[in-house]
Amino acid sequence: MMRRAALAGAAVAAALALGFGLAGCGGSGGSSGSGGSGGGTSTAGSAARISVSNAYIPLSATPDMAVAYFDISNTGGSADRLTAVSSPSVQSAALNRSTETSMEQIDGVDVPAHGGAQLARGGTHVMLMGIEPAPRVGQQIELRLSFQHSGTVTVEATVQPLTYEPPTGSPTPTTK
Amino acid sequence: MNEPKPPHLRRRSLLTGAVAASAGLLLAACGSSSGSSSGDSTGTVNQLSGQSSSGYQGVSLGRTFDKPAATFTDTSGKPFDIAKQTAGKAVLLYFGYTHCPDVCPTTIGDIAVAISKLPKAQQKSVEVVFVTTDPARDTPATLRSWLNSFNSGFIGLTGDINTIIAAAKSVGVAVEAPTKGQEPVHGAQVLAYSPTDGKAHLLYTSGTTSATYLHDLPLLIKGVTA
Repeated sequence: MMRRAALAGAAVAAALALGFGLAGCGGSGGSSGSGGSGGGTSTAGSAARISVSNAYIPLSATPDMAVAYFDISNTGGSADRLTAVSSPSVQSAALNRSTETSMEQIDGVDVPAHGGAQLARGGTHVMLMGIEPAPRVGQQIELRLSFQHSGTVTVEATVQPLTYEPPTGSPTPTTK
Repeated sequence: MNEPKPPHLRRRSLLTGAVAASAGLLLAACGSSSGSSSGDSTGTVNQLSGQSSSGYQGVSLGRTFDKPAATFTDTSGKPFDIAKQTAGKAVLLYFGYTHCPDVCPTTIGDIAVAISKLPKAQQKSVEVVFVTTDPARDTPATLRSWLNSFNSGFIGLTGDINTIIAAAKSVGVAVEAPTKGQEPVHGAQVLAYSPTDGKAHLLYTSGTTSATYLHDLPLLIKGVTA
């Protein structure tokens, strides 16, 4: 389940120097990525340290279209930003936000230092177009999350039933 | 959340104003951005309702709306008169479209979950009416297929877009004609009609949990005054 992509050597060094165990930051079911340009210049002194958890895709009532939700956590001392999502299982994926009366594409999701961001029902989400083959409940679909500083974080999203309601009170902080 | 300001802020504000003005409410709980848990949303609804005595968790409208008077077309292609054909039933009315990935399936799904947990007799006493805001793409067959994923008893209605816009407006819901290349615009609230007087006294904002619907539906079905 755990898969880590594009982990820069510099980031590993930084993590070791800080005595931070990367294995511990994702939690179960999560994926972690870390590193990049944020650390060196940040006043906070440590790089963004991103992990993604609780990724799921409700079965869709519309053929070829689905939506993905997940929690992003940043235990590092620098902010980061999710800039794009892709998946080998879909033709295209877009970051969207539901507004009061519609939906709009957004170009990124900020993840504050020592904070997090939640892509959740009725809010910010990833719209997946042209999903093939048709998802089945329990299946894992790979999502590749591109972060401005932390590179690509790969996560397996679990396909859930159409009317799945995630547990409330997610421990992931939404702000720092 | 530190997200960029929405580019459509102007239009969004105008619409929000229109909805709020016609419903006499500030729909602050609608479309709350990603951070809020569903628990928070419910809390907001409770707070907004200011109806500690009514027993409902939904938002009191402070006025009533009749069922839209227009005649639509149902998913079998037959004319459908909402007031006549849902008389005596508790009715949840929602305007949305099937290519809506997030809010519409979430709302209809949460309602479907709540209804599935009601006793069978109560399930027969409530009708869910979904009116498409994207009639060009949502054919009766498309609507039927989409609704069947949730509950084959849900009523799907379509019609001329101007009829739909007027019907939505008559109950305080903002709907715009779809524009090519843009996501359809529709108010995301659910109106709840009493079986007793056939009027809506309550609404549920986007983000209302199935637990809230499950709490309120038996009251609505019994015709408890909001």
